[in-house]
Amino acid sequence: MVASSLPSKEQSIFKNILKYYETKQYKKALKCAESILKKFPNHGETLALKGLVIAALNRKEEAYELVRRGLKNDLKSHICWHVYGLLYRGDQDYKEAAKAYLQALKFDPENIQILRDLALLQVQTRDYDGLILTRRKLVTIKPGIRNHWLGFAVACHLKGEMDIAVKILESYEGTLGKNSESFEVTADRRKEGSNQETKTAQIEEIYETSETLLYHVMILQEMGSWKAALDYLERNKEKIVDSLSYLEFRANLLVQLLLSQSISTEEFEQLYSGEPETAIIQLLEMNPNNLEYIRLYMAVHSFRKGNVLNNGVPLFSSESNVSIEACNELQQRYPYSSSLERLSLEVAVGDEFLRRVKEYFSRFLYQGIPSLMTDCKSLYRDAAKVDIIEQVLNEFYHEGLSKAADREAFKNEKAYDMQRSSTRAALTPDAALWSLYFLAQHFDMKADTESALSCINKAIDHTPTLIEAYSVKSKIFKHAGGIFQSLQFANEARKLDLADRYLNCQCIKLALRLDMIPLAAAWMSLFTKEEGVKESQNIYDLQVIWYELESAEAHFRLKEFSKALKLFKAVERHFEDIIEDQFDFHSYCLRKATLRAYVRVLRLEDKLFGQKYYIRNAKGLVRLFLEMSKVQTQKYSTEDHLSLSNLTLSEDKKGQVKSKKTQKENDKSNSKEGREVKNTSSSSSSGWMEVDPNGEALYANIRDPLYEANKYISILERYAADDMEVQTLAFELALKEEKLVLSLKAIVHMERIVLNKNEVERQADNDFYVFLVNKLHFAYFVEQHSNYSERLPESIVSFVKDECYRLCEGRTFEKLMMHYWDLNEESLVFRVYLAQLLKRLGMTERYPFVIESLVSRKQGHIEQRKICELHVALLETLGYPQSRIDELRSFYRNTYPYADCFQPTEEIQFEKKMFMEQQLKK
Amino acid sequence: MVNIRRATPEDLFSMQTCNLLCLPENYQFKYYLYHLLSWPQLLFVAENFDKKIVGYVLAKMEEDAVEPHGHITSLAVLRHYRKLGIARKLMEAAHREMQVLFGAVYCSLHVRVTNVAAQHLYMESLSYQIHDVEAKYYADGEDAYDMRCIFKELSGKKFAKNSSKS
Repeated sequence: MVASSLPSKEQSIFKNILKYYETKQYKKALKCAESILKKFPNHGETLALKGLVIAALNRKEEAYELVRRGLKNDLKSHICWHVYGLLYRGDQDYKEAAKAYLQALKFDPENIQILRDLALLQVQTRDYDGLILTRRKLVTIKPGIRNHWLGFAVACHLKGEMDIAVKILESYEGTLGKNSESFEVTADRRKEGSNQETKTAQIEEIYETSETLLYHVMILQEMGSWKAALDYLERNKEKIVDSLSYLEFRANLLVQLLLSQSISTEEFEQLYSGEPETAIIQLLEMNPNNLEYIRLYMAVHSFRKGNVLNNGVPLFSSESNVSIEACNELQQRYPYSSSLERLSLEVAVGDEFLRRVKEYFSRFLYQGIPSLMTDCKSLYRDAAKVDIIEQVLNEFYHEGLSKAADREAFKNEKAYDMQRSSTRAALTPDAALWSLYFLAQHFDMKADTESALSCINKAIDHTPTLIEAYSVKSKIFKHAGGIFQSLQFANEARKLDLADRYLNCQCIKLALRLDMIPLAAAWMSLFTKEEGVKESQNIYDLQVIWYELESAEAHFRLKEFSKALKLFKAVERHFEDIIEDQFDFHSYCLRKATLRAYVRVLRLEDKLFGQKYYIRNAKGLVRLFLEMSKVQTQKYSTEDHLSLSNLTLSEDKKGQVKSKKTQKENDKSNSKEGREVKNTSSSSSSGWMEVDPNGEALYANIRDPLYEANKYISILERYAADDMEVQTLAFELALKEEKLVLSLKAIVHMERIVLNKNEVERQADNDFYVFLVNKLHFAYFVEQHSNYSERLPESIVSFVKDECYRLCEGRTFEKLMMHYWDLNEESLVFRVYLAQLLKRLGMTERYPFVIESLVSRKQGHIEQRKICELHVALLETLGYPQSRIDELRSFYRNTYPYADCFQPTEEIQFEKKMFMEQQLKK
Repeated sequence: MVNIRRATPEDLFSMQTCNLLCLPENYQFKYYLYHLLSWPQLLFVAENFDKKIVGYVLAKMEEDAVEPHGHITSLAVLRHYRKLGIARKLMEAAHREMQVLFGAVYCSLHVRVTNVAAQHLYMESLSYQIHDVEAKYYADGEDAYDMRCIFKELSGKKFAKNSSKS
């Protein structure tokens, strides 16, 4: 950087500012700047640089002011604009930064540093069009630099301009072969000194070349140019050092080419006769347990057998390709592949299944491997297989018992040891223990709690020190709804190995489900304590999402809204940080040439909010904001009577609009503040969890909770629109805001979700009834707002009217309700949901038969536990006498004897309290 | 059954979760990203039949080392998936790649002096040796053994390398 319009003495001082800034000697830098400004107080570039130094000293506002003043004095200086961009970049406002950089480039269009920086901002903000322009310029200006070529190719790849990306890589590789010396990377390395260093540099160079070549293959594969990709691989075989990637690409490409039939079978055979199989076998030789390789083999096998693929679309990983025949073929080669054995259990039936499951289980039994059953969950979809498994496990158990007896008999004789070592297949005495262990899990999966408990108790009697057995017992109670007992046995396991964090975490999770927050925190601190750091801050720093999320949900249930908000927000910030994390890698990966991983990471980041934790957290936030808005409305309505009663409706509406505007502004400033807090946290002491640890300030700052809820609903709509809960929340929100079109949209979406399910899926959940009752709610809403059409834009009025008519089947709310009642009154789920709705609408007295049915009818068959629980809770809110409620509770207790929710409330509350106090004392 | 394979970016979340459940030494997500984007071939995961991640190894190359060598940052296997030899297989996979792709001469790691089970695995199954003791290495004040596993020279034929068309 050379400052314009300064005398030469000041010129050199100006350079010093930069030098000191870069070496972080900010005070000296400031002195230099001030000495220039004394003589030339309006020198724009000096003002800007001073701003930059001030920013580094964390005086942000002053910094912006200085740089803006600098700009005013020198609007045509690329330095001023560059510095302006740097400030924004430092505050992670990449869009504004990019704007400033673009301005800078107007006055210095070929400035490499600015162009490179701009490119990073453009990837981060996913401005791929801008990125391509910047990258093209860099290559044009300095074509001798490898990263410029790779960067350009990546830009086109990200934009989806695959063929251009390939052309760029080709021309780069072309120059590489002829004249590699001209490339900076190579030249740099040649200069380096010692032997070892040269050798290391060589290894790195070979690796980087190999990575670039494989990146090229990746793009060809994504384009569907399988033949070209195969040719390319073959040509560059010698230069690819990552042999696993080479083989994986080759096998996948061969199979893709074969199955897609983009070249004729004859031609394929001519070129690659038998090669797909060979390629897959090569992979399996290295890892016979890789299910992807096995599935690839199955796909080819099934194709060769002439099995027609779905409309010619190759089904790679589909189970339908798996055949016993192919399993047998492979098992002859790889008799010890447990993946193969396990996979074959999916397709084997009858005696074949019996034989295989016996063999498979016995191996795990001999060694006492606890994970056997967790690995077999998918087999439990098939009732016949479940029976066979039970039979096999029982046999093992009895055999194990007799072996144990044998051992007693032979105790002091060598014969026993000889027998044991000579036949590997002999069951060890522990077989009885492990069969019991597996049987317990087996019955648990069958939801036969009694038998499961009986088996696991026998196992514990047999070996009271087997930690896993307590964990299984804990799981059995958990699945039966007995969370409190589950916790007690998880705690037994924990106590047997206090150094094991996994066992500790299991306890914490259960404690939080039981809303025992202080106990969870005490257990958590056993592994997260760090001196001088606040506990919650340490947990936050380590991004322990599961814990913060579970805690937030517990606080929410306890109506501790500000604490819940703080923790939900903490989780959200982790995800924001993960998005931010990419930034440093945009230039790093070009240097390292790890472009395949890099591009996949970018794609992962683009789907980040689709992560299950993010979705769950966002739902939690929406629920919280809906509750907050309820609290606020209640507050206002009491205030209403005091002072606001003479406000007219229209004024009120205006007020709302206004508050939204200010909210938006608040948002902006809030987020900025948030950033600054984060920035300072690295240098100073207070972290995000240390400031406002209980979220009171955060909570007080939420002026318009519905506006906040909308932000998260729109994210959820984008990433989890087909989730019934998401649509229900969207519907709730729309009703609250009295937005007819949005509520209609949510209902229509629910309808689609329900219609898309097959019969089995429809039986498995209650979405159908959720939809029905929400639809009734909608019908009621439409009726209450019969003049809605006046407020709608002309263009959609008739569409909205038609849809409402269709959904309500042309009926009034009452008629529609009666209609559904006639169709569904047998379903407890429906009755419970409907009663909930009527209660909400204050109409329980208008339709007494609905409410009456909740107590008068006894259930003939077993209902889902969740619904029974809702049923009891509902009666409580409806104000039934305690005796009726206790009666219902004990009725359900017959079916679910272990579930917490059907135990007498006071007793279990008391026990929980005692348990917590006892544990906390320790 | 358990399948040991290279980690993908999508696995990083499960790896972090697994780490937070099992071990007292934890890292921010960015540190996992740094490993994956620097040495994509040195991260391995173990998955079960339902594709759940039940173990992982997070390994790296020591940067600017005089003698190129790898380092095991973190290794964990879910408690209920023990006894399957997962940890050993994960380590061997990482060792192989650091040697073949990055020319590592040896691999180092830290282990708590009280963690006898892990030391047994490293010394007995993977031929690690104690190289040094680092006092108060861990946040809670415990010492660490600095262990090293010196790799044998690569045999002429790199593992199954491109020996296609048989």
